[in-house]
Amino acid sequence: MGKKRGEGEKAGERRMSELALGASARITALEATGELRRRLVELGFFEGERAVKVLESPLGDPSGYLVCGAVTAIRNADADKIIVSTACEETDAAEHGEEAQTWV
Amino acid sequence: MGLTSFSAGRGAMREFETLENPEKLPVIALAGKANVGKSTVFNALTGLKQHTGNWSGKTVSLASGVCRAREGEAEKKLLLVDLPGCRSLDPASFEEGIARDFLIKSAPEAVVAVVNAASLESSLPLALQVLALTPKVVICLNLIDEAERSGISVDHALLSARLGVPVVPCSARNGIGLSALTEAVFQVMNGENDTETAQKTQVRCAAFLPRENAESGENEAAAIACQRECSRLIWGAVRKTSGDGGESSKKAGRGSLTARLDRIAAGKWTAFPIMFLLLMLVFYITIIGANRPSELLFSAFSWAEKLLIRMLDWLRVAPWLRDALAFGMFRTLAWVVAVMLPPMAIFFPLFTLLEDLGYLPRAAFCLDRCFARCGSCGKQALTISMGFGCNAAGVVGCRIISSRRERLAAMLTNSFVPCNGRFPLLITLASLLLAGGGAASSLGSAAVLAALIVLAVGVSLAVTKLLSKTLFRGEASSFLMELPPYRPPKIAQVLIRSMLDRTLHVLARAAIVAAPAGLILFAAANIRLGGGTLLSEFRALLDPFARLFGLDGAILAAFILGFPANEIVLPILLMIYTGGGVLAESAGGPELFSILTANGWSAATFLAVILFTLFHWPCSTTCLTIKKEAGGVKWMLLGIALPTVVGLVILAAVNAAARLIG
Repeated sequence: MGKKRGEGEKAGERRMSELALGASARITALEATGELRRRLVELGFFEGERAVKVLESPLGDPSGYLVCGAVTAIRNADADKIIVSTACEETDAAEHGEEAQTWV
Repeated sequence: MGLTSFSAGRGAMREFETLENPEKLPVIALAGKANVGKSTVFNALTGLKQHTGNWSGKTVSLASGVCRAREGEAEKKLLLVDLPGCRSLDPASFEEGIARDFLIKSAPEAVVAVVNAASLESSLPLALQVLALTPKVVICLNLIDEAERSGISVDHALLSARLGVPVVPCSARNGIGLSALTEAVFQVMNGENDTETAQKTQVRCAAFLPRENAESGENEAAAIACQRECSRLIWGAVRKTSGDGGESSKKAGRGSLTARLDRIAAGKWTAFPIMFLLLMLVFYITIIGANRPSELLFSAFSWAEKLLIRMLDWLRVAPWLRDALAFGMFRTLAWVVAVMLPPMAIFFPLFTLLEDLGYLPRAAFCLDRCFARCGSCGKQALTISMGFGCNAAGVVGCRIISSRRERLAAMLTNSFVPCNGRFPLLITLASLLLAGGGAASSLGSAAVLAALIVLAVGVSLAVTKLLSKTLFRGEASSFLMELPPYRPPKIAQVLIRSMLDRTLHVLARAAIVAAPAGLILFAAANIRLGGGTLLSEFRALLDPFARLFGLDGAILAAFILGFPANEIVLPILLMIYTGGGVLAESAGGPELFSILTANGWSAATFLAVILFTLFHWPCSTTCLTIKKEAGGVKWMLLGIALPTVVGLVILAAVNAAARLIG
């Protein structure tokens, strides 16, 4: 995990909670530990998977993320522990743009 | 909401060790993630009245039922066991642990793994972990109708060939594919599937099964490998038939209808008004719908009572016994049923409809910020809504909360939300308060009730916050909840099932509690002791204390005597007011109103009683449940003290304000 963080300080890297509504990104690292980490991995939140922020609670927290074909609500404090990268999203945008549009 | 969750958890663990199977039927387990329609499949196969809801991780109990299926010519019976909904078989968490234990220890003849055709990626991992335990698996590709609607087609034959086990497309809610499913079960039991491939699959899947006492990262690697394997398996088998027509097999996307509805239901400006309006609408329909049936029941019961008296006379029963049976027991019972039944038979099906539609998870999603602020777990939203049905069920439901301090807080604050037994009392009092003796404005009453619910949940949260700042200090735990797509509820099914279940439950409860209570009260109201009857002495004793809070001795006595069940508070109150221990025969709105006002009820009294109904000690069942679940009498006492103190403080404040005003 630490190694990945080191090499991943490049442009486009951010916390999943910071994604704009409708934006998609690839998960690059998982900082969560313990039970939360176990549950997140089980739900498909792990390195390499794509996450789309599809829904925001009217009070701003939590948000819903589409991962592995299902939408999961995650509190911002927990979504902070998931590092995503939007760097390679240009090429993927065409492929996934439509999906994001149907959501937002 | 489900009263089925009563048998949840530890009870269920005991249950399956002695799974009732007198006929030694072959046991078939039903496994699947939440929201894949597992319970619908179970209901469709067994016809058992098990409540299904669109909630993540809702079924914590092990329901079982007999399924009659044709194998060739013969009709055979299978015992179907519905395992808790879970995403993996990780022994570290509660529901998952139960499912895993059952599969390993009870070694079912075959397992039906239910997956969601519209979202294979998220539901297939569990099936693969089940395959690691046994090759005798049938994959039920459920919700194919939903998949079709979102333009997804699944090549089930290809999946079946890859796995070596049957993959049967189904739509359980429409009854499609069920006979093929049972045929496939027999096929697997008889080893007529591609057992060679299935065994290879089992060997391959062994790596995906989370282990007990695993080293750090080991189970995580297994989960990731499992997810990757799923992507590999469905590659080329899942197609988007509409839209770009490409091979976006990974995007088991969700229909845009859900997205459009969510834009409103979780919209920044619309979410909360809609939540309040829905709540109000539910109460509005309940109130206008319950009036007429209530009147009909009253007249039916009064006719039955005359018949009963004539019968008792004919049997030459002593007059005192006849009066006790007819006016004490029967009339109290009739009263409870006539007042309680119609609103409940309307309110709960409506609530269940919202649940089936998938709205409740959205409500929890929108409100979670408030829960987080109060240091509570998001799952408390679920236990609160279970509390609407029955606080005892809500307390048991708190088992799903993993952190002990959050679980205790949720248990102790559950009785702040009104349950089954208190709703009709609230509805009656709110209507009387607004309309007096005249025609009730249903819309107004509905608004008042909705506001009361908001107040109740608010106070419940405030006390939770208080507890988490004092007694149960610690970090708020995380909250992950799946938001399932909206699904058109099967209206007729929901109505019939929840009406029948509720109706039977209420009738049974009324008979068990109200009838003997009526008898005892009748005795208390007629046995003389010195100057007055037992009941009037008790009332006089409580009166000075009750007056401090804007109540009177009769009201407090009714609430104290209503400890076994809140349903009987109003009948007791009327019995005290009407003196001789005889309930008013038909206590319709105007009549009830005149009885109450004749006993000095002002608007402030109505308000005080409404508030006291919301906030007072929980019923005996709930108290015992708290003691059992929290593991200690001290928690039970706290569970009694919290709502009582909060209620009395609110009442004292309201009383002081009322005196100031006038």
